[in-house]
Amino acid sequence: MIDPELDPSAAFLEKAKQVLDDAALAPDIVARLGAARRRAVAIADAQAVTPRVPPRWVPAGALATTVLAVGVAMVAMDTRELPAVDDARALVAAQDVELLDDLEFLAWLPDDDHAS
Amino acid sequence: MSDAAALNRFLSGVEQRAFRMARIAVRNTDDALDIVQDSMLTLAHKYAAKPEGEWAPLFFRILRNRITDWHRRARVRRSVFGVFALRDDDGEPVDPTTLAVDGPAAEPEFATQMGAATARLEQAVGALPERQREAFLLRIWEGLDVAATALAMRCSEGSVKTHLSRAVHRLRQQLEDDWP
Repeated sequence: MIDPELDPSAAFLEKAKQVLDDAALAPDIVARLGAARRRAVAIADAQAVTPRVPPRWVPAGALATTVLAVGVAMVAMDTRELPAVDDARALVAAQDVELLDDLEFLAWLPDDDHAS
Repeated sequence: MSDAAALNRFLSGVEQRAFRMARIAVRNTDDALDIVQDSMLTLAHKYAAKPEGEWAPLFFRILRNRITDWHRRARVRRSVFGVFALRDDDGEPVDPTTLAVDGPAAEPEFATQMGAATARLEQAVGALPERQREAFLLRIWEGLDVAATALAMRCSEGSVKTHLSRAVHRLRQQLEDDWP
């Protein structure tokens, strides 16, 4: 159907369409086109019957993702077993007194050596 | 009706026009057949599950892409041959159109296979700029509406109207006076 917006050209376009439609193709070309069509339809038919198989990388990707997720979870669990930061500071603070005592003792040792 | 039967009906309805569109564009029967066959296979392989109403713009978009690919490859071939074969044995320059794989004279029997009116029209349509030719063939011959043509051509509906208007103007100028 010719668009009304092209009305001044409508007769010309109708003739052009008619000329194009009337031209017949050679039988061998028609046969080759038919063969190509049948191949295409066979492909579509086979795809409709056979459910689409996911690509090979999909299971491998799923496995890798699972392994990664399990690894991350295990690392996170190990981290939770460590003492909290505040606990660690308290521990260090408690040890500081003993450390200072040790340092005073070590500082006294050379003096004692010189004295004796 | 099964999908395969619907696809068969659709393809049988468009295959001859698609072939002639491709042949007008590439001016070579075997290459045009390859292009149409490849377009059919691609539609069946990738888009057969799409709604039937979407097949026409999808198919002609695929066809257009294949034609564009063909021209791209032809340009590369020409540029390669242009470097190495533009001079004859005597060192004289050779007309590059005699080497062009898609030259108008590539198939002299092409014009004799059809009537004079058809040959003249196909020649004039083939001489149109690419976008104008596509708009004319898809809108006027294939009968796609403006939206489907725009989808097939990957452009706006306004562009389709502009290209079509220019194509019709040019064809009328060339053909209307002495068209058989």
